[in-house]
Amino acid sequence: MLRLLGGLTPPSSGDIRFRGDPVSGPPDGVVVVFQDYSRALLQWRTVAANVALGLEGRLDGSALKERVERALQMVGLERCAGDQPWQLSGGMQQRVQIARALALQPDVLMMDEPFGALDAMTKATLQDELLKVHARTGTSFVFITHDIEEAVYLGDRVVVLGGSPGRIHRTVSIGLPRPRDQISTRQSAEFLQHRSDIHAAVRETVSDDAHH
Amino acid sequence: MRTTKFNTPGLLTILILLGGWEIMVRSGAVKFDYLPAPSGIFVAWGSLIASGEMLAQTAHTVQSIAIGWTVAATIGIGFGLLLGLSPFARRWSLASFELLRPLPAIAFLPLALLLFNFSLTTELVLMIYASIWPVLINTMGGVMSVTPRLYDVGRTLRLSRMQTLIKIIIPAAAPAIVTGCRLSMGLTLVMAIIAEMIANPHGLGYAVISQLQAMQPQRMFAYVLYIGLLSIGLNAALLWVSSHILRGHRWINANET
Repeated sequence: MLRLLGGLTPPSSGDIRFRGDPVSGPPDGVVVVFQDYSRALLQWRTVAANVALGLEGRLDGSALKERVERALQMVGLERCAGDQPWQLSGGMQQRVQIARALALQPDVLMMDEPFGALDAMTKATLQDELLKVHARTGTSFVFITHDIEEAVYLGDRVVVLGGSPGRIHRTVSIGLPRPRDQISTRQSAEFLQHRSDIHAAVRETVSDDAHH
Repeated sequence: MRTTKFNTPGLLTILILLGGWEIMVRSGAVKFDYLPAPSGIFVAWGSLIASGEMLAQTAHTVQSIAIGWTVAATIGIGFGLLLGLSPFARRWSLASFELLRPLPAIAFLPLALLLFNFSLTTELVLMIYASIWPVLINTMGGVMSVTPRLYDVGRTLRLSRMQTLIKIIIPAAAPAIVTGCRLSMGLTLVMAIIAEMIANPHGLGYAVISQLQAMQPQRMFAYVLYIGLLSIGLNAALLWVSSHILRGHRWINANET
């Protein structure tokens, strides 16, 4: 699904449009962040050189350096610019990948279970980082996750997919106020209501599958 | 990184062995007509260096190694990249390469001699033929084992194909490419010596043979030991260069330990 939206895999039927133009390859302004950060980073390059990867050839000199620094600041990695990715923890490597995408100043960031391989604490920290980036840059996010709470906590709109081939099963608008907070937001009645609604919707897709 | 410390016991063993050899020859415990004592070899070595002969021959051999190895590495990397990147190229040409590769280059020597005479060309052709393969096979394997994810990364960051190749694929395959180049350096030296012995009367290989014909075993031994040292020196130089090229790839070693 995300490969289709990111223009990495052509659809077998139908078409995908971004601002009215059919998507035939990765569109300008859309960047994908992958789950397997250690494979998606160039381990032989420094953190800063990884972030610069998409910009080399478009910017150079101080403009490039400045843009890389700003992207690293956004994910709180400005001190690790000279490190190699393999020297960093998993959570920090994933931040590098997010910074690399943000450095291109995309309109849409596609994230494929980006925090799926991280522990709960790191995951919570990165969720909040992501919300801050969202507030600062206004970038739209398409965020694939299997974690219902994560979906409610981060999202404006949660789309429940189900079945095979996958279809949109239900769309839920999340009206939780921003800025959100790991403790108070997750305890609010509205949050819990959304969580159980989506849980129910997911259960329906599972039982639908069982009937087929 | 590995720290190099001077290996005193190792050097001591070598000295003891040389001493033993010296004693055995001098006392007559081993008796071959043409087995010189180490002292005789070192004296002969000294005179070869002093006369300037050895330097001129080294210059020839090192020069052919430099040319042969550069050409072999260029061809090997070029075809290796092509075959690694293109299933089409693999389907059409891999069978031909697999047919040519196991043919021992030395078997071509008489043929090369017939085509190119006693010349530097013959020497280079043999060297290049033998040493293309390690580079080609390693480069192809290195490119093919680059994780598909990195191609996705290149696409989503909207790099051109050329940029993806130069910035992502070649650096990712660099450790394998460098390994291939190091293997082929060893082969180039071996083939240079053989070709100089038989097909091109110049350089260190020819020097060994002419000392054989002149019945000068001290000098022959001196050349053989010298070629060994040259090989160690070339390998060390290459190791040093490759550790610089691959300084970003230390993570491979870091992950192993």
